[in-house]
Amino acid sequence: MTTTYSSNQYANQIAVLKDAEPTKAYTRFFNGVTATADTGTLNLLVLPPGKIRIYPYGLSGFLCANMAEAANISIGLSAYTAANGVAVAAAVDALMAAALVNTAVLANAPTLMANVANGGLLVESMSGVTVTATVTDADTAANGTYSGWLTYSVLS
Amino acid sequence: MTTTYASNQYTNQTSVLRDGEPGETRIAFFEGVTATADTGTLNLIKLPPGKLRILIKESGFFCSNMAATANISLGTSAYTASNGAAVSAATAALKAVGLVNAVTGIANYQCLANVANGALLLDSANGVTITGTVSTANTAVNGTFSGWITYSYLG
Repeated sequence: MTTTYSSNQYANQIAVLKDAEPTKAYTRFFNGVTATADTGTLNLLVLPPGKIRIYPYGLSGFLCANMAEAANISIGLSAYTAANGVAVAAAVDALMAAALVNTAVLANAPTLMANVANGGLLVESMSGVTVTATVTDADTAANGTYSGWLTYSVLS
Repeated sequence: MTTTYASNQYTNQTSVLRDGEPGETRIAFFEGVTATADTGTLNLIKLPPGKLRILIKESGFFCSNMAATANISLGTSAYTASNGAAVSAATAALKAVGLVNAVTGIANYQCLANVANGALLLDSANGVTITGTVSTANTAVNGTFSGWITYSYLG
C-alpha cells in the first residue's frame, strides 16, 4: 500500500492543532519601555500554537504612558502561518483601530480593544502568533512605557 | 461488617462532582444565526458537569438584526443536579427579559446582570445548557448572536 489512509479518529485528532484543553483560559501580562523616540512596532506577546480565541472586551487591556502626544497606536497580529500551512498576512489593527496614544490610559484599558465584531478574535496558527502594537504618525518617545494583558481560551 | 462506612476523605471526594481544578477558569465562546423568524430558544453553549460558578461580569452577550420588538432573556435549561435532583429551567437566571435592541451590538455586551452576588452557582451531573429565550416577537431571519461565558470550577 503506497497511499496513506487515516481513520476518522486520526483525522479528528489532527484536524485542529490544539495546545491545551478546550475552553481552558489564560491571561498573559506584558509591559515594556520604548528606549528611543521612533515609529515602529512593539512586540507585545507571542501566543501559543493551536486554535485559540482572544477576548478583547473586558478581559484584555492595554495602556501606555509618556508617548509623543501626536502618535497613533493600533494593536493587532503579526504575519503568521495558519495551522493548515497557509500564510496569513499581518493585521496590525485586528484588535484595536489606530488611535491617539493619549487615549490609551489605565481608565480606558478594558475598552480600547474594540475592533472585533463578534467579541472574540479567532486565531489558528501552526507556530504561534505575535500580538503587536504599531505606532504611526509620530514617534513613541524615549522612555515611553506600555503594558497590558490578553485573555484567551483554547478551541473556543 | 455489613454497613458501609466512608472516610472523611472519601466523603469529600464524592460529595462534589468536579471536572476541573478548584479555581481553574474557563471561557466558552459561542455564536450563531437564527435561520428563521420565530420565537423560541437559542441553545448557546453547554457547560460541563460538576460544580462551577459563572462569573457574569466577565461574560458577555449581544445580538444583531433581531426584530425590534422582540424580548430576550438568558438563563439555564432544565438539568439534573449532581445529587440526582431535577432542576427546572431558569430562563432568566443570567439576564432578565428585555428588548433585544438593548443588547444589539458589541457595545452592549455587558448585559448579564441577573445574579445578585455576581456569580451563578451550578452543580450538575451531566452539564447545563445556557439558553437565550426569545419572546413577545420574533427573532429574525438571519439574526445573529454571540458571546462568551466565563466560569470557574468549585467557585
